[in-house]
Amino acid sequence: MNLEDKTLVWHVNANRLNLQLLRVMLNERTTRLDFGYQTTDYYIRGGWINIYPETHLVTSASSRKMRMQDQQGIVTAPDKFHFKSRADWHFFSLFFAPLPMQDQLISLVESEDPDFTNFNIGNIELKIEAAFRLRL
Amino acid sequence: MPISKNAMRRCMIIDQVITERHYYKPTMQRIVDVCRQQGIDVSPETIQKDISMMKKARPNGFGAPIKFDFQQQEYLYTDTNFTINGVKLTPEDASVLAESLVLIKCMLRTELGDKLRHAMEKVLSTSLEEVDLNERYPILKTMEPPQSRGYEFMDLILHCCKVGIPLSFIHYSYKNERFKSIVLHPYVVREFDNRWYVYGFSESHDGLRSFGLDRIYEPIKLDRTFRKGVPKHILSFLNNMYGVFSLTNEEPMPVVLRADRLTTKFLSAYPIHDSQVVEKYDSGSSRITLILIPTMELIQLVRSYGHGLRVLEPTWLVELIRNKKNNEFRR
Repeated sequence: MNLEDKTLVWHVNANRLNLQLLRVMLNERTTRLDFGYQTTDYYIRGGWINIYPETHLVTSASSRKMRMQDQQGIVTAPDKFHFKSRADWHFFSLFFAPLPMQDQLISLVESEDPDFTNFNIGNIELKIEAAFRLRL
Repeated sequence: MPISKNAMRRCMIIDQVITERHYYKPTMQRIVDVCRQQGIDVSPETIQKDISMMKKARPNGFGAPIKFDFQQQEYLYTDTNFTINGVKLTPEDASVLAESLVLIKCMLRTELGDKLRHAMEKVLSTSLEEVDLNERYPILKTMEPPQSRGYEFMDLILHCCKVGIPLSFIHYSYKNERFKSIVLHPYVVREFDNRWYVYGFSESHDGLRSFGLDRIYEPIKLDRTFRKGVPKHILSFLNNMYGVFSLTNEEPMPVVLRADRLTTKFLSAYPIHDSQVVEKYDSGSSRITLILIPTMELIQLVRSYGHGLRVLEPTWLVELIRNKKNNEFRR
């Protein structure tokens, strides 16, 4: 199957606490991950979020780390996006170097030495056969 | 005598040449040349006859005020606004169109709406009487809520409904406070109570669902076989429901309400649904029967009237309302 110039789309539902990884899109130029975040009662006004600039993807298909290239809807540390209540929600996307076009397990790594607040999500299965194709 | 098709084409060209006088001198030679460019081989004599015919009053001609300027050796309309290519609008026509434009501006704030508005403004521009849209205030005013979140996806979703393209998007549930990835085969977009919804087959739910556009994030088109909708189901969604979120997948059923005398007056003036039948009692209160699929919005409506309106049948609906808190029926 020729996957060049195709964009593959996976619907996933991987969580880390109140962070949800919802969708992965991959083409020969970039890898995009879509996230949803729901605030909780833990912080008085929902707290804040940001993403470390050194965030990357690791994949079972390569020894390379796929660095974060861009982000949409979220700021990079040390900036912060502050919520206004414990009922707020937020959608954002992260863009990384393109993953290999093959079956693999990927992990999102915000910190190599994470605490409970870091956006680290592991072992997300991406199978070529299970992917949708983007229509241009 | 009716104007032949060929003569009509030549008349249109003559009209075009005369009205484009700012670009080209509207001479006989220019008319003949344009006719030839459009594949019509014609002599000056024929054009002369066409001009004579155009000058005749309707229905034999167009009542065209054509004059030959010997000084300049060119044709012109003595009424510079005249054209046979335009649609002649009476002041009444123009007024109706102007009011319709107001409605279009209110209701169709999409690319399609813009095109329609533009087309109508072009038609209006041919009106004999100038209509200054900027100076007028609308004599018909609809509710114009501020543009809501998600409305920017309207054109994409309408296109997918029309062509039959599945969509992938992220949906946020206000009630569950959770996100979900959805693959939807969209069928129709519907407005209810100034809110917009897309209805279709959700692969993620394995069933027909509606999604508020305000809760949709990043819709994208998928290259995937489209699952066509069953017209009966789509029509039922459009016609047999008050609102969009049904409480049952069953067919339309009788829903009986009891209204006090004040509520009866309002509901008689503004029926809830086309199927509404009001049986008035001597006191002025009433028993109202609707044939529809019960929805959350119907319950919200009933509750909005307080003690003035309550559900009598079906029993399961009465029990449901009794056992649930008010905010459990929020969309």
